[in-house]
Amino acid sequence: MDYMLHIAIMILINIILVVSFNILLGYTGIFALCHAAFYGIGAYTATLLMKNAGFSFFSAMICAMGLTAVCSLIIAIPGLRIHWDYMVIFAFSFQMVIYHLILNWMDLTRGPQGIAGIPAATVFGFEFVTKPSFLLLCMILCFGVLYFVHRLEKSFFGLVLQGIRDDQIAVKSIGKDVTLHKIVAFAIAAGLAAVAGSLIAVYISYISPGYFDLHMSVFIVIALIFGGLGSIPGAILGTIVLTALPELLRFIPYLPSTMLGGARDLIYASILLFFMLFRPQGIMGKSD
Amino acid sequence: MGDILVGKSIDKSFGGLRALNQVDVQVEEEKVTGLIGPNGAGKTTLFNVLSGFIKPDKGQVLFKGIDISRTRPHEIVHLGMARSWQGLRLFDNLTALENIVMSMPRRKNGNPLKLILGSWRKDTEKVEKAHEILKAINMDPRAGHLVKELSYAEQKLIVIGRLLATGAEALLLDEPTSGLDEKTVNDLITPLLKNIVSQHKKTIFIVEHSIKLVFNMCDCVICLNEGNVVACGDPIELRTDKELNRAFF
Repeated sequence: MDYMLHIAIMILINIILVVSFNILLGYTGIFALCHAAFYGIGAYTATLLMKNAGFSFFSAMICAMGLTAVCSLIIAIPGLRIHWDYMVIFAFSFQMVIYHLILNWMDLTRGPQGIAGIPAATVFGFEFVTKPSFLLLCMILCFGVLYFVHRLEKSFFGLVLQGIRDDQIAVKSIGKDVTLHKIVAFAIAAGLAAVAGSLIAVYISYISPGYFDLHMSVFIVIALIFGGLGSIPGAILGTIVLTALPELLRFIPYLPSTMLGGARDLIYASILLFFMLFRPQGIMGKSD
Repeated sequence: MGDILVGKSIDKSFGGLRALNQVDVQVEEEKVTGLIGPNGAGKTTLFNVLSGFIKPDKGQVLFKGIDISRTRPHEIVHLGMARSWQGLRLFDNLTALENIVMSMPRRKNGNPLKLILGSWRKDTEKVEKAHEILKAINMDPRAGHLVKELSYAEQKLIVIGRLLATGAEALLLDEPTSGLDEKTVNDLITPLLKNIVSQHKKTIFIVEHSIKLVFNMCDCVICLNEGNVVACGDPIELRTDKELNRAFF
């Protein structure tokens, strides 16, 4: 039962990540392979504020969202003025820089040793220490994020983002500031990734750079492409399948545990290739 | 009426190619001005310069007396001049209504949070106005259709509707009738453009290959060839010029 609850919690945390990334790739068409970096900044900020400054979970999470949104400007302001192809490389570099920063800034992040003993999330004196209670917290925050992104999709701002995805020049010619819209989209997506980062930190009560490496960014991209670009139900479906699938591999008889990681990567690569070739908009995607 | 849009001595080169050479243009308010010329004459380049998508190497663009030579394209729309594109550039994955609604200007002092999280469908004032625009272009029955599902002629109408939705006073139309049959041009596009000028009090600057449409609609015609303005004036007078007649008409 504990194992099933663990899978459910991981699915909910990953849904927050993938749905927030949907704002960038799904609605706006920005292929920024650095979402795990925002996830990491959020996790470390929340952790440090809770552990060293005595912040409560929610105040640490809100600060983490703010700081991550500000950090996203580092990539958004210069990056969004360059051509699409270069933006991909720029975002990839940002992911690598943040990962290595976390890995090497020993005084702050304790490097590869990670930070252990992160306090549990506490709200009005109630500690979310048991798995069912933490699942409830994840559900509340996940539904909050889903509702927020749903509202954003249906707003004027969301319409302009979808217009940018279709044709940036056309958006300029109807009087909308493309760069400003992209920067705000980046900040919102990064801020929401910090919610997932704060949750993972208090859930495992230990974080290390490995959680926020390029593999995680690739997972987020593939889950979204699989489920469907620009679709919230698609993002949810993609996350459920891709989070649960590697777990199912554990039950395949005669598959040595040492091959699990490789098999997972093989599945991700196959899914990505299949969808790129035959259904680029994913299972439930709206855009071509 | 005075000139709403003025281009003064505009130069633009791409590498060794001089696309615009000391081009002077004047577009009178609430009139239709045509821009004609053979392929490669520099018509679209001139539109790109006037609308801020390309910065001129030299020269000045004045809109309502304000120098907009270095102004960004979206800011030019805010000042009151919007343009269309030869390649349509519609938002294919959005509906006709969404294309119109999103082209409307943001309210001054509007709540940014409402802009990000408020449903556009609940903004009844804007939605009603969008339906009015769709009615004006005979596209209201197709409001809920994705633009990519519409016919080419219908997409052309949405382009004009989108320009109207921006609220701009001056509209730069890049070949609004290209690819359309004569009947569609005569029955749909020409009356619509005439209506835009007479009823909506807009200024139109139009690039056109259809000489018939130019003579039917324009109050003034500018002839461009190899980046130079070779003639400018009343279309009927220009047509009597034998040399121009041979080269352009």
